[in-house]
Amino acid sequence: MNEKQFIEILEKNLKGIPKAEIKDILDDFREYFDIGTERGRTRDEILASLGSPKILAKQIKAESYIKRAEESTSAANITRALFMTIGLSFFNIIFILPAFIVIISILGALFAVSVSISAAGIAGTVTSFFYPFFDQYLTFTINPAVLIFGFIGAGALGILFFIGTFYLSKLIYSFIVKYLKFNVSIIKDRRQQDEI
Amino acid sequence: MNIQFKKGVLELCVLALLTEKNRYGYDLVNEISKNIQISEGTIYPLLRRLKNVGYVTTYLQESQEGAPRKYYKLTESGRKTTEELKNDWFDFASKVNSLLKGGVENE
Repeated sequence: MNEKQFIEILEKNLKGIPKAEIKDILDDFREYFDIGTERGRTRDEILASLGSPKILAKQIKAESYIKRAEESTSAANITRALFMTIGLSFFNIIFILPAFIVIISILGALFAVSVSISAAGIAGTVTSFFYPFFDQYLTFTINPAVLIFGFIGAGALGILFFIGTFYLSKLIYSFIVKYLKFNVSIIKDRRQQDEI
Repeated sequence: MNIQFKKGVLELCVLALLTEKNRYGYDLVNEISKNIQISEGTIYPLLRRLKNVGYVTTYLQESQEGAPRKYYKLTESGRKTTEELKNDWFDFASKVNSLLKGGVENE
């Protein structure tokens, strides 16, 4: 391998990151060769000291991807992170994915229940005001005050339930993000162990 | 030496060298190589990372010897981080030292 081949291999293995960044990186290494020879080292010596261009490219590329993922937290990035994380281990596929689906389903059900109770409470409260008009149709008698306060109570309970579910979702969301970050940091560490 | 260990130390060395003055990549490798044996290419991924997290900035400067050099300069946050890392290091090293010495004495 000579200098030209080193640069070529580096360039080939950097594909996928922005062109300008690749040019910048290649310039860095050209500069390194130039300064080295100015200082009296041979190109071969420098080549030997630099290490494998493939591994260097891998390190630089990983760095570039991570930077982009951190810069924009788009849905695509989160989804990619999720899938990357799920693919990380068998454990994630067997345990985490079903757990994730169950948690989402339970949260959905909780939201549905809280909305239903609130709606029933509000509708019931309004209806209670018309109690005098339809009490003749009822087969039982009930104090209108009990009816109204009962429904107001149900409505309030439903809204409280909704708020509670909302905070629970936020908590679970942040927990999932933390878990993903933890997994991604493991991936990062594994990449860094390649070579110094 | 343990690779992960060396990696973390290398970052601290680069930052420390940059607190003295602005340097270019080759210069940094040269200084570090005087004391620690490293694979020289590694400095560039490291420098890119330091730039990405905002610890250093770069600028080009002409040189009398030949090609223009890309200089690395510490930012304010880089300077602060270096101080923190240095303190962590000294603290850590002194604890490890006392532990190692203690181990010898007990034998």
